[in-house]
Amino acid sequence: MKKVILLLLLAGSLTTPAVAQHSFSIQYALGFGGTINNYITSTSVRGATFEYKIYPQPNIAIGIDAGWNHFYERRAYDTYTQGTRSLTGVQYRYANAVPIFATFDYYIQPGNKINPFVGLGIGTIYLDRYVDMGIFRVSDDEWHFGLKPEAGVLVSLNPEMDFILSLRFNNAFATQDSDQQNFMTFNIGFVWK
Amino acid sequence: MRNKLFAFLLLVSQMVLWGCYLEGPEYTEELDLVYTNYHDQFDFQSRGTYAMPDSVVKITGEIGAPEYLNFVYGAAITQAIAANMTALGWQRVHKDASPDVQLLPAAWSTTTLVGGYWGGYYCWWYPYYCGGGWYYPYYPVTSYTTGTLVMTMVDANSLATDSSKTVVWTGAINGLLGYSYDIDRITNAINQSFNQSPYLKTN
Repeated sequence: MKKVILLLLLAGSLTTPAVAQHSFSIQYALGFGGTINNYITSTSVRGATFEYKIYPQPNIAIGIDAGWNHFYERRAYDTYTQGTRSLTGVQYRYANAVPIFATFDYYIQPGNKINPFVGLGIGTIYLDRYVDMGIFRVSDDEWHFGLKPEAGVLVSLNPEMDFILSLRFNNAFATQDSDQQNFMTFNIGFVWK
Repeated sequence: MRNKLFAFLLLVSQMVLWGCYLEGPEYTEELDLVYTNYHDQFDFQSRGTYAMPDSVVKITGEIGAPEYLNFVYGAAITQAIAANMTALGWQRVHKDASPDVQLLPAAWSTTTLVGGYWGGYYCWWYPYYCGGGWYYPYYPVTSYTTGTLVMTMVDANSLATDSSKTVVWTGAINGLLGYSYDIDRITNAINQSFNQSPYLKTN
């Protein structure tokens, strides 16, 4: 997967004029919703996204982004029954999602103070999930093929920095051993150009 | 530049603050587990008598005369089991009085040592390779002890070819042993094991 991302970046850079602008962004990512709610209903308040983009044209950007969201939920003392077996205790559920995408973004009003955009990311999402009950742990981790549609807006603060707000849908497709998983993130951060 | 630094610090501080909330168990009893399973072909309702020893066997893994839990724990455990069985309609009888089932409680504890290390694996064994001069390796070691109580109910009238009896119900409780309130926790867990086994109720 790393090779694919590097090749995409390289291909992007080869078609980029030498004077193409580039940017770096750090965002806080609030994770919520999606099928991951079947496993953990709580919102992920621990998350971040890092992006690097190259602009071959003012209204187009290609780049790479990597993020992390940590989900956690404490399920109250309860009984879980399967067939003739019943298990009672407090459950602690954890999930870490690490999306890594090659991205393509289209900007609707480049140069304006408010610049909406839509984008698509293609890459991978690493999902690491585990359940603690008593002193025992059940865990599984998986690399999924991932897609990430995104819509947001850039607000220009000064010629070198933008404020960014966006909504992302991170979709991790099913693998042989794991069902499809997805979740959304509300991203807020800064872009340095 | 100052703006960039300010924005960056703002974001980092937000993330650090969000990261400060606690996760995982805070109290020992949050690690208590109760497990039950039963034989779905066994008709509990048509039975009504059981036998149970007054002591709880302590599983030590050593061959020899059986050891028993100390009286304080053993009596609390058998009393809690007996109270629950009575509430479900069972009558306790002597083991020679042809009981329908026999209930056998047994317990054991396991201590696990957890060793950390400082300076990497090689510093444990080859301190002179670690640089910065020779020193004794320092590795803190902690331990935790878990206790397990298993209540096994067997059909006293089953005739297995290997002379063992058919297990018709199992209740197991497991938790981290502390220094106090363990009897209350054990009693609560025993009660829970019967609460989640309503099929044990007899006529």
